[in-house]
Amino acid sequence: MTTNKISAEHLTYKRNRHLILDDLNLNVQQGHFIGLLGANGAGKTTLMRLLNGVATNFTGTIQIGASESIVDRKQLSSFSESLKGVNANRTLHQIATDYAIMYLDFSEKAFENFTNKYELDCHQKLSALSKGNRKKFATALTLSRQTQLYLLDEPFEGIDSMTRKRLISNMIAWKPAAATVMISDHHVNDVVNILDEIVVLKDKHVVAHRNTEQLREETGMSVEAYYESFYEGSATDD
Amino acid sequence: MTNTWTMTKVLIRQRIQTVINTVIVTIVATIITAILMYFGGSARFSIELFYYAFQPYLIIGGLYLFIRLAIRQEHTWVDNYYRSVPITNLKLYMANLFSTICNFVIYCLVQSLIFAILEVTTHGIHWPETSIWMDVAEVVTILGLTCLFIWTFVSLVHLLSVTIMAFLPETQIRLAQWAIYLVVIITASYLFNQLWQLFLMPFSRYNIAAIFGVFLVIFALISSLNVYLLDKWVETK
Amino acid sequence: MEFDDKVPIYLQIKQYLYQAIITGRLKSGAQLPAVRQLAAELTVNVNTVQRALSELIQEGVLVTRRGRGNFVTDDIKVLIELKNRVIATELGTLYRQLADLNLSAEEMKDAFAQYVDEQEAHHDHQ
Repeated sequence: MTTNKISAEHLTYKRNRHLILDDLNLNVQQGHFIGLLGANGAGKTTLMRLLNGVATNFTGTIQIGASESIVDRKQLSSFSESLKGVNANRTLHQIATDYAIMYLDFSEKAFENFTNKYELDCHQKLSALSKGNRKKFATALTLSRQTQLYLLDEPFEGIDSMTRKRLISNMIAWKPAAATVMISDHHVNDVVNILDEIVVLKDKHVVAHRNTEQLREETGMSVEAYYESFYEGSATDD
Repeated sequence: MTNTWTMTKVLIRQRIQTVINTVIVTIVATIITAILMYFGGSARFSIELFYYAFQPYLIIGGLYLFIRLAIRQEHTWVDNYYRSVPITNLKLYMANLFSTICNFVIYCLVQSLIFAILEVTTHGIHWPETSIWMDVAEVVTILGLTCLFIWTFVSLVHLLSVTIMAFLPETQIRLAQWAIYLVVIITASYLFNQLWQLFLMPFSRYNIAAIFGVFLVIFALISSLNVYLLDKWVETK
Repeated sequence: MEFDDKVPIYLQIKQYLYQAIITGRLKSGAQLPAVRQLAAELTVNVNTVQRALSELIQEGVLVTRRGRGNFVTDDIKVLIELKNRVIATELGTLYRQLADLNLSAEEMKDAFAQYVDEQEAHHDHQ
């Protein structure tokens, strides 16, 4: 019985005749902060789309808990890109109200808590927000659901380092023990302290999946140096 | 899991503003036109002026809304905002289509009410003969079915083109788009030609039940194809 | 607090708590914040903090009281031992580095004594 796992096996994904993920394998235990690292275009967002279920044309298997079904995976995961396509003329409050109707596990109280901590004004229209505030809002919405897997795609893009620290420490205080939070980022140092594990994507594969503390203990390398070692000389590879 | 009715309600609410705006614009346009007509000296100032000014806007507004709703409906298939919701594609499909219908019906009802008020104030209350009502009901039914048919047909075209384009290299997408449009235009004009034939038939000659039956079969066919495409092939942008 | 990313974070948290206890910022018998709160303050993962605390509990520096949380031990013997251990670790590093410079035992003692005097004098001037 391996019900508290998230796994992708022999996952291959193509779009526009372009191979994006090729026979990718990933197996994570639930309950951790996981850093999904990789250069731009390495397939981080695609992997999240596949896990969440908005991308469907893959071969292989994807499982969250015991479920492979797409609807179940949408129920079991909360994706920060789910805001894509919303009418930007609506206020943050209106958008959250609709989320509360569309997602049965959405907690308006949790959302209010996040927006207070993130200093967002819910009477503002989405279109009036800066890029950083938009990211914060997407994170608030994503984390306000009560589910197993949270997928945050570059949540700290456009956010200054002071605020970033606050958001991270807020996330640590918030995270339920059983929940898994997957954060994609291409600046490792943004998030490295809170990560239990890192998954490095490169050349359409998972090239490394390690526990961060073990990594430091065994190699004496910083996580960033370890991550960058995969990209050394890659400029001449192509 | 989110259920169909919940989703329908959200979709109706999100699009109702478009309906309200359309109604407001038709009313404002009517008033402006009536005033212009009055100052143009073409008429005496009376309710009748509004009655005549309103009619074209009612139709134009309806057409505009019809297209707007179709666009909103199509966005739903390819936006994470809707496709991320834990609901089966069949339910999402029904909710989406049903909310489009509801919003359009709301528009029609509101405008009919306004029209009825103008009619009564200009011409007084007079009930037409009962035989007319049957014809009116038939026309409304056929118009309704046509709308429904067009919406599902537009979805089919859109979903098919999204499916096809996901398989083409990015450089060929533009070319494919034009090819798809061409095919669509040809098919659509053929279909509408057929529909017009139907309309131009004298009332006595066609059998509303038969049309209804044929329509239902076509509708079910296109819809199941749409849901299949959503299930297997159509991803978000 | 800034962490060195090359060293396991849980070790750095242990060091940080040792220092807090030795300097008296965390007094003997004092209660520690909840794990989650500590993690949020240090912006590190809960599991990492948990691991650091477990080791401190094993060492006897912290004691767990069921349902009430973690406390600094009030066993003076353990605290003195802890202080000695930390001092020994620091001196060990210094000793190895000076030995690498081929200093004799006498030279080391003299150099260190002289350095301490200079530092004191420097502080007095300020």
